[in-house]
Amino acid sequence: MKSLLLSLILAGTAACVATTRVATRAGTDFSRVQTILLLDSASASRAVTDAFARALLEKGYRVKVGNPDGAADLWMEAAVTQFTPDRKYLVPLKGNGSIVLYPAQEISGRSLYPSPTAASLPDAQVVISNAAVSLSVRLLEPRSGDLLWSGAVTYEGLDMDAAVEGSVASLLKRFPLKGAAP
Amino acid sequence: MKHFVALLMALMPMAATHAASTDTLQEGLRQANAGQWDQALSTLRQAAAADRGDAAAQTALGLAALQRQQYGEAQTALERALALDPQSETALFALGLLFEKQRQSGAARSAWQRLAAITRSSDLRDMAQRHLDRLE
Repeated sequence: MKSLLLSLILAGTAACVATTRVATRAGTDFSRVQTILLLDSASASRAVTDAFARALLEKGYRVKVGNPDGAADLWMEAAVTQFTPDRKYLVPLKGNGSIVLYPAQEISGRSLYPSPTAASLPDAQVVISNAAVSLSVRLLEPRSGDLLWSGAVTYEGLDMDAAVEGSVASLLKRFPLKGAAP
Repeated sequence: MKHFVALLMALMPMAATHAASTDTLQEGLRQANAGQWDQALSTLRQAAAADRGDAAAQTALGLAALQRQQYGEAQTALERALALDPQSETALFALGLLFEKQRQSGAARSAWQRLAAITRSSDLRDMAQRHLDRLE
């Protein structure tokens, strides 16, 4: 497995954390894949698994969900590596009264009452919030467990549904499967 | 002199209105920052209606409406804010997220492209590019 991992070819813009990062095992033929098993995983929410299932069905695959078995051409394992349902930004007022996002200050936690002194911001601010999801996905060969493809992405949305949908769509665009970009 | 006094008299109500709308905006922002979104939305509607040429008031109304999932009102206010201040990164950021939520891919692409082009923040530029990569 280690040698296989080492043989993975970086296919994306891995140096840039801003974009989807993917890697594919060299020489893998994905053209005959028809059935994909989405592995049940404690590290992926139901919403994420269902989003992948919908997207794969729309692409024409037969999709199964459950525990590992041999009746699939590929296993897909998804993990939510970061889940931020309510990321908030303080949007300060500029001196002339207009509002700017930059330089906004991202705040964490549930409090909407950061100390104005600590934040070095005027007391008249507005909060803008969005959700963010970081996903990591692996495609495995069922018989050997070989890692064939891996991808990771972080995506923001107006709410959690939009963030999940966007992150799944971003990864699917880079899948080495039907309808994917080369 | 007579004309100057007349002009001053004419401008005084406008100045008073502007001051009142600024106070209303500040109150709406205070409520928003305290998480009192329903009150904030109501107050910011007043501020935006009192001075339709104030980009800050329109932006604040748009963000409060977004928070309360009043998407139509949010879009109208944010687009008005952008028309008043074409460099508003806040409006472009919020509109990008809103258009994606509403599956308006073309409009979302336009918002992210504009944000990527004008922002000085590398984080925001990376974020915009990430959304453009998905939407293209």
